[in-house]
Amino acid sequence: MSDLLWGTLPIAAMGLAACLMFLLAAVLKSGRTAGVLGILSTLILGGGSVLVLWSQGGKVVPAALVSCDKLALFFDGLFVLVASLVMALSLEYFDKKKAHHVELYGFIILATAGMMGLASATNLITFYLGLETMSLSFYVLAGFLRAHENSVEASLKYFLLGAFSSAFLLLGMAFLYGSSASLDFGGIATALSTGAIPLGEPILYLGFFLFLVGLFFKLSLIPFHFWAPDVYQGAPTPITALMAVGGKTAAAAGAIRIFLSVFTASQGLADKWFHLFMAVGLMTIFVGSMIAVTQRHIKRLLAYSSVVHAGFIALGLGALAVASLREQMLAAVLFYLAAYLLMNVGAFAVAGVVERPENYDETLRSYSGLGTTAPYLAALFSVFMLSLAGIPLTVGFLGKFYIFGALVKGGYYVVASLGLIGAVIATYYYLKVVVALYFPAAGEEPAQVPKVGWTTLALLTVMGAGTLYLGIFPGLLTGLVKGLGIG
Amino acid sequence: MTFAVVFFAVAFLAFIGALTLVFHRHPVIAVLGMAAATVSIGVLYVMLHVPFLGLFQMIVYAGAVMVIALYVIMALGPEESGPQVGTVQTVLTYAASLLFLLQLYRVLIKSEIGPMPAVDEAFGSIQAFGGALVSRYAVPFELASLLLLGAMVGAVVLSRRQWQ
Amino acid sequence: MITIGHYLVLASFLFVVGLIGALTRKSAIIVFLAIELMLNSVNLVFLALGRYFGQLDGAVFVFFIMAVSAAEAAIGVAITVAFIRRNKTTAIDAANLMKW
Repeated sequence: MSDLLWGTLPIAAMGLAACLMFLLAAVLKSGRTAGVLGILSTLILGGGSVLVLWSQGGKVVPAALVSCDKLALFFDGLFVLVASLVMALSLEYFDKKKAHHVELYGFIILATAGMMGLASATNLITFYLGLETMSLSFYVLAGFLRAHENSVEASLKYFLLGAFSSAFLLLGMAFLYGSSASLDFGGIATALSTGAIPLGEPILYLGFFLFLVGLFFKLSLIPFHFWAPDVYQGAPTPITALMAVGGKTAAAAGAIRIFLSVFTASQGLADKWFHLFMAVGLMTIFVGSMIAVTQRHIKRLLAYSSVVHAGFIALGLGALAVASLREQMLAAVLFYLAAYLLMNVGAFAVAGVVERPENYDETLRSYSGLGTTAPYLAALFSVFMLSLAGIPLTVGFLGKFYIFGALVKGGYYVVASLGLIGAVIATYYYLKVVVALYFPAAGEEPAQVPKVGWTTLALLTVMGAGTLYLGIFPGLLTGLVKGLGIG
Repeated sequence: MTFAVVFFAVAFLAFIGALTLVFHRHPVIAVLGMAAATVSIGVLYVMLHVPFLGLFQMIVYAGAVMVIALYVIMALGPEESGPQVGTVQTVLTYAASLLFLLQLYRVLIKSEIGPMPAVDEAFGSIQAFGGALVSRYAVPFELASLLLLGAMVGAVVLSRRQWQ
Repeated sequence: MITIGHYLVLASFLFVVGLIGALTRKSAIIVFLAIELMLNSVNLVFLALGRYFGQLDGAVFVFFIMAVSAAEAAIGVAITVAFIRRNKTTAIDAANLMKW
């Protein structure tokens, strides 16, 4: 029993923290106090359990149906980090919007528990429950600014499309179960490698395909992306950061785990995985960039930017199917996800700061001329934008560099060069934002100077510094991700 | 033989109920169609040797979910709305659905399908099920309880009328 | 003789009908119920397969899917009510403020 507890410690800790926050919501009056308590409990309970388990080299208890190996712990650490950052940003954002509710923090922590479940699942049931715990919290969180109609609408859209995509994922799981008579990842892998498929191969391929469709929805890859811009634009900005970073990282983590422990067992499935992810990834990069160029609303632009980033992640996920590249590519994808966390939370944090209390989504005009009126904020925003674009000396560049480097090493020149062309197109709309910051159009009134509280400013400074530091000295992160999840 | 007759009758009912849900213009009748479908599916669960899940199905879906749905529709005043999104989307949907159905059909005829094997009486008993829930599936069970707690608080947060 | 194939065929029909409903109906409530119908058909697949393999795992999965559906129903109704209060309708095309 104590073994079971050890093996599920991070999830259990976050679950406990969520229950605690829901209980405290009954007595606390101030959202700020709740937020501080939420951050503390996340860092102490969640961060502490991750560190303790990491120092022991992870703990795998097959009976727990989740696996706390180092790969899962790495993701758990990312989730703890993103949840704490988002909660800290929420403190000022929701005060500004005059809708600071104590329950908010419980849901952020609950979503984190779900992400952890998804990232460490070794059974289809835990995979599904982790995913749904995360999604359900997101549906509620998206609707937290009830006074703004966009928020409620984002919540409704996210809810309907999330449930719709879950149905595909579930049908895929059902067929996978039908082709292996097991719900355990290990059991499915055994059935695949021995060829003991009860209902025949066609049903296996159909299940695999449906499962991937569900996964593409959750990763918001084109053509399954259409919910993302609406939801990301409508949701409260710190929550958008949580959905864009945490939700996507969790989906990628689930994909990595299920691929490494199940689909590698069958060469046919691994090939299909490779082709589907490459095709969808390239399409996402190109079409997503084209649409992003036309955007004027900053949150919508960032939403399409996160769609395009999911495309790059998809290229990395697809290349996991090549056995000779697997170790290098896995490290590259993990690096990319960590880099994506830093720069994307930073970008959304600035977007939250610039947002006026009464307004809901700001166009590029609200940023025009901030380079002279709010130089520090503008400089930080430029750092995040340049990093998202993949300009050298930032962590975003290295993320792309490692992924393309691995692709080139594997001899996939066509994919790598197409992806690079897409990355160059993508640079355009990030630079458009930077240009708006420093060179306002002639005759345009300079935008209102946003007020920044000290917590947000401190966090922004840390994230900006991290983006630059890891972009120049990546050793800290590359050492961490090396050899995770292999063998 | 009786088993087969009952199966086809119930399956037919489920199918008609589903069609009613999707194609009937009046929302109240559509919801009643869905209720019929869920009850029939519950009967199928009983026939699959898992009687108490059939019971849950009727309580949770035909009971709770349908009643909530009806409640919302009635509270709003039932407005007629048929399947009418826009011609292009409708045509695309039907084309995609047809393709999907054909694909499912192709897969199913190629599958190696056998008759249902006999199982002993204890299969699907509530004892075996409860045992599995608290032993092998203890962690998912706890996760599900967290999820339900979140849903409860979330419903309150989203629908309470005034804030603070 | 009823085989597993009968159950799978029925479930695929129900899934596709639910799919059509989810994509063509306008009322948010009906769309939600159509999605529930899709989930129901998945439940049927899981149970039939579990019975076919003589395992309880399929039934356990169905139990959890039901729990999630119930939770989703609670949340879904709350969101729909919040939406109705703002827009005075359940039609989801009222939800097209944001495009592209």
